[in-house]
Amino acid sequence: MSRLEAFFTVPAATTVSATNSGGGPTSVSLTAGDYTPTLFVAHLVARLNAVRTPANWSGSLSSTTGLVTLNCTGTWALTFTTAAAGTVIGFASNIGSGAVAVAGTQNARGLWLPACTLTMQGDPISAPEVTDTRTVETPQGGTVTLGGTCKYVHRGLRWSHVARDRVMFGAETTVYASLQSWLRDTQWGRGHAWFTPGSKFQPYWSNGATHAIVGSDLNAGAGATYGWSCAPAISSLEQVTKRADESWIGMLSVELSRITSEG
Amino acid sequence: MGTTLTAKNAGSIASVFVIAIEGYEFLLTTGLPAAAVTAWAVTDWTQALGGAYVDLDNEQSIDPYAPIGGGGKCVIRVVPTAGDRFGIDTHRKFSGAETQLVESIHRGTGTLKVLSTAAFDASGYVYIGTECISYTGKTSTVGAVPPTFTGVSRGRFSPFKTGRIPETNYAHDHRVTLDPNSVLLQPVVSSLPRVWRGRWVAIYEHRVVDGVLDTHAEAHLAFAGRVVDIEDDGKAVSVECEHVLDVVQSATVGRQLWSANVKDGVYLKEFNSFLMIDSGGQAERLWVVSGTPASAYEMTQGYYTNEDLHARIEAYWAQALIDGDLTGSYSIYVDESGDSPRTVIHWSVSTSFTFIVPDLAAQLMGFGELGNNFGSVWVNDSGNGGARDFLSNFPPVRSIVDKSGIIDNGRLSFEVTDERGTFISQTDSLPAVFDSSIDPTRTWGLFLFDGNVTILAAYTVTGTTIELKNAKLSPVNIGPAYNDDLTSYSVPWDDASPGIPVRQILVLSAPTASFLKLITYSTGTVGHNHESFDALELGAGLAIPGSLLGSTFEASCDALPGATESVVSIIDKTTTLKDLIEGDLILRRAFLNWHNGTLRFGSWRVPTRDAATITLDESNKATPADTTDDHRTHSRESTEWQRPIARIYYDRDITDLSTNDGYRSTVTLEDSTAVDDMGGSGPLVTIKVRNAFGEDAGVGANIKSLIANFLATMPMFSRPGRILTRTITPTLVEQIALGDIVLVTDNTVRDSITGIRSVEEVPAVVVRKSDTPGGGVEGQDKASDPTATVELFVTSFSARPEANYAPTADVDDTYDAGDFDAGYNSLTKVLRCYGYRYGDDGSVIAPLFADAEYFPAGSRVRVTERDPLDGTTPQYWDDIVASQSVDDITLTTGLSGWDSTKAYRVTPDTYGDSTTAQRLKSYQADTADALIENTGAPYLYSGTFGAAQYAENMNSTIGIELPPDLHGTDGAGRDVGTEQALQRTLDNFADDKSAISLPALSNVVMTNTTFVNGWKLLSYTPIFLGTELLSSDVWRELALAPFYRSSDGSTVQLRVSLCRNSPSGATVNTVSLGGILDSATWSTTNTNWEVGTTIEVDCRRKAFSGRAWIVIEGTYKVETRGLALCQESERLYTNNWWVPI
Repeated sequence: MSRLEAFFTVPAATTVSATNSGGGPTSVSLTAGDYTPTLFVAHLVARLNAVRTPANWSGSLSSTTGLVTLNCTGTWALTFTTAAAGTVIGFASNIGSGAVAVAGTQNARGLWLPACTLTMQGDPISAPEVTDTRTVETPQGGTVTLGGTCKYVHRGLRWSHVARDRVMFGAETTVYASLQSWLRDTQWGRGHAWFTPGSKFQPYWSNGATHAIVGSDLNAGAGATYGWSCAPAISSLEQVTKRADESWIGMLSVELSRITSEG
Repeated sequence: MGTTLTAKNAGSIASVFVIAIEGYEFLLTTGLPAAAVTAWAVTDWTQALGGAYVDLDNEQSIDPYAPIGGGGKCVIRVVPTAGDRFGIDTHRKFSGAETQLVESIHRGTGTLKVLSTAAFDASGYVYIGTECISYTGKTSTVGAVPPTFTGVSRGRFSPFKTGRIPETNYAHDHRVTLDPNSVLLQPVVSSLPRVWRGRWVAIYEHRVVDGVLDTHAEAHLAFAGRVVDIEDDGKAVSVECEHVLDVVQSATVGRQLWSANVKDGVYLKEFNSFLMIDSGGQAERLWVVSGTPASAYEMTQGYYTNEDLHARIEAYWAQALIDGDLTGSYSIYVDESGDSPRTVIHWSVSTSFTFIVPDLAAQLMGFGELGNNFGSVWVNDSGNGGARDFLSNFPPVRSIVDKSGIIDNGRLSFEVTDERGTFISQTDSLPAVFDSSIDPTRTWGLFLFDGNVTILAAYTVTGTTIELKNAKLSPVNIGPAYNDDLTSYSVPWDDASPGIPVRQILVLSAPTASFLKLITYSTGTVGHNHESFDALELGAGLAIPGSLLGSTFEASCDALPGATESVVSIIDKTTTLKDLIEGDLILRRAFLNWHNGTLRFGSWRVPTRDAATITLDESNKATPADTTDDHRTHSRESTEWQRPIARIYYDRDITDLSTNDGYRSTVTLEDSTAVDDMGGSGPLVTIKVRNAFGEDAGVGANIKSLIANFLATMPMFSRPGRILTRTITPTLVEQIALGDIVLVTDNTVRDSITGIRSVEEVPAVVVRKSDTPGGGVEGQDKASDPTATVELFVTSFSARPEANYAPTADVDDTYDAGDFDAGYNSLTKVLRCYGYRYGDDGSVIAPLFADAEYFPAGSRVRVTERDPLDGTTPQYWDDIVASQSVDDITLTTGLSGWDSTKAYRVTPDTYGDSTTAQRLKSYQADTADALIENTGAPYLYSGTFGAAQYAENMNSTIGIELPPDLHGTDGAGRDVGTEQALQRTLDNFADDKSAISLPALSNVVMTNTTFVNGWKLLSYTPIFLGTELLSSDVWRELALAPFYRSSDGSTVQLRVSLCRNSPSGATVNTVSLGGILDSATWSTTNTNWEVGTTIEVDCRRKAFSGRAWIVIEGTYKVETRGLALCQESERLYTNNWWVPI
């Protein structure tokens, strides 16, 4: 299934406190930097395994529910000393002592799952280049061409039928699962503190049975290093949504008119 | 792989901009930040921010009456990237640690003393103004030493470096001021940057090849300037920058010039005394003492105003009355009720009094006449009973300035107070004409005194006392004549000004080229910006970072017209550079411009084909590919610069600026024909030349010589010109500079002879150039288009285009190899010529052409005898060049009757016989019909300044010659060889033939048979050395050789001195020589008469009258008959002018 995963910035001195069969509680510091929800879950698990051994910690982000699940062998507990480290992956509170996998109660922030296929004007595998190339011409037909900068642009990213609960905040069945919540967090600076207005993101499209990153031909298949941005900015939900069928409010189409990346 | 500029000039190019802002640790770039960091790997910068857009509008033009123009502008827009880092950094004004400097730092200071270092990191960066400074440590207060940042590295992240070799970071001055006339807010030292306006900005264009940028060293500096404004529109931060040309245009010099007030009143010295006697007795004397007064009959040495003095005198009288030495009652005051104030001694009880007053105190109070120094003045009155008033004969004065009276060699000395600014010692930098007036062991300056008199004085600091000593009238005529004795200078009683002002006037003296380098490089920290040319004090120079100047700028200064002529610039107040040198540049037809990443001077030249560097035709017009343009060149006849009348103001009197800004003299130049052609009136241009004075001023460029240059090119601007406007391709933008001469071939432009469209290879001057490189636009996928246009100036003062001199090649009369005989091979008919006598040697104008190469095969030539005995009948041949190679010209017919004892010159044949190509040079018309061989008007060649111009007074090895008449006849080429021959001959007349030769041998033997232990005066005589002005770079020497011997074989010495004045003394032994200019000494034991070895003495410091004295002295047993040789040299010339270190 396609999805959008926005980057957020983990600040310095972000820690969690972990307890497992090896002992604890142990403070585990997370590395400051930019992460998508998927990257952050992986980083959190890696840090837990590195610091609070034995390395039996695991975690996953569901591409259908948007919930993060954490687990460890034996009895374990996790305190989000930096509360934002929990809320960003849908844990509104600490995870008390137990011996089972625990799923977050909220959609991971910065993750939007439209449950709909992504279509777009161009080829989603590629990252179409747009340059500043310009040419002057002599009366005799000679030309001089100048250029040098390059950016990547995709247009018309469209999800034709997205259920209302995945679009409207008020209709959410999972907290923060809607596009409106995603926009608040990642584009408008009105949600989770670790996002900034206009946060960059990675769109994924359905490539057969797998999810592939848009523009994956960049950087030897890794895609755009720092993701993509909406340009022009999305200033309202209305700007990007409309009813899929004029007579029904249950299903909407979502379209990002243009996204850019520096590669 | 070459450089960005090379690629840019060659054709299409992929490039990005990288922007460096002074003191900011992030580069900005239109490309990828990581690539920018890699390209700038060997610089201070290790980080970069993307998201920059550069809107660059280069716009330069030259104007014959505005030699310093602007350079366009640039706006950098930075969209939020990396967490909006740039936006935050530029708008965060009050964050981070902060303290204040407690001690001024100049550009080289290595420690920062501040109020506190507590809040700062142990090491890192601090920011003061626009400068970033790194430090490696910090201290707290230690004893009297304030907290200090240590391990300081100044000028971090400097986009432009100094001009030192190797270059260094460019730092700034930061002044802690206590001057009450300044804002007393001291420099803030902060841990984050706060000041952005004024930062230097460099925008480099980097070629991109496969994602890799040219390195910083390979990149092209596309823009240099300073931040003038930072704006945030809610979406992005805009940084507006002014071009460095605009920075120069508005820059000021003469800031912080020293000023002070003369202390009011009169200075009473130790051992001065007052004495009061009346009919009842005699008081004790009131003594002036150097220390603390021990009794009521002592007063302290120092300054006393009238009020102070009255109080002290009344106390003296009162004490004498108490002590019973006087019987009368006395008081003293100033009565201002009458027409003229008077000091009044009101007295009673006694019947008479006599008050003996030191002369200066008497003059202050009006009891003595100003200037009369008799030691003391007796004031007395008598009468019977009752109260009486005794009135001073003269009005009291506010101040008697001189504190030394007649003691200090008749020169003025006084103390000052309320000192402001910084005194700049000019002991080593005053013009040579001052040399005889100063003692080099003291610290001298020129001052404007009381707004009225210019004085030369020694600045002296003794403890807290600041004095100007040994002051005399300025030897330079820059103010009104002041005929009175300076020591009697007084300030009238009714002068109500807050103080008697005295302020320093800066005198900068150097040849024009050095002057311009000094002004532009100098920062106030000697040697910071250039090893030699950063020599002026703070505020006296522009402090343009040296890397924007460099060898290109220096070479352009050296190539200016009159570059070696001295300039004496007198800066009496804060002045813009424009005001300071604009007049000089206009008269020199010079201008400042920006080209290929550096500032440089250029000069107007008459457009000629030979000087053209590039051809502009249809192939290099260009407009954006998606626009519709018919590529037509716009043409207009312009009177924009037409000024057939020029009024030149010079000879500025700095003491009377209220009248015509001080200019005392004018000269008006008029192109009367042009005025008449305009209907009898024409616009006037006013040119104020601050740094030019009259012939007799003794300083600076002589206005006459400057005007001669100006007149030579005046026809370019006294008559209408044509301006062509057309596009050029981006590849030419950096290949064409303002002032360049180009050839225009254009079938849309009308020919000025036929009136029909289509011109071919018309020479024109580039007078305006504008371009924008275009590029990415914020929020758009389509880039803005590049554009580039030029305006070209075509003169129209002649129907025929201007042309260069006709060529010349001199036959090498020393060449006898093989079958050559004095430069001619009669078998092969080959002439061997000298290589580069008249052509350029390639150092200035490439490509290099030997003189003979100007006569290619087919040329019609005339080979003429040089310097014939009879100018009317020189030997000559006309021939056709069969072939030509390097220095050889092969003739077709050959030179029958070749005379190897003579020298010959090759010039073009007459106009009628010359080829079409040859006729593009200058030929002469006769005076009868002003037509060349009755066929057409001559080319109106004119003065074309440039480095290759013939410099007068250059010693030449070619020698003088009188050209034959046929070089000056109708149809003859106006050839450069004959022109130079005439010039050399004139030079020779001025430099050699007019030199003084005054051997003076006496029939009487002059000898010293009496004075054993020193020099005895044997002879002295005046010598007239002429009134021509000599300077440090053009001078003469006097070659001397005595005719002398030893009378007894013992070692004897003879000394000949050139003196400003005649000797003086009570006897002829060890006389006082009158200001030695130079001297030479000979020694011998020979008892036979001999002529001593010739010794040259320097005679440039002769008196203005041109007179000097030759004094001959000898030791015991010397005998002489005087001078066998006394020969003034030709004028000598050097580049070794004064350069302050």
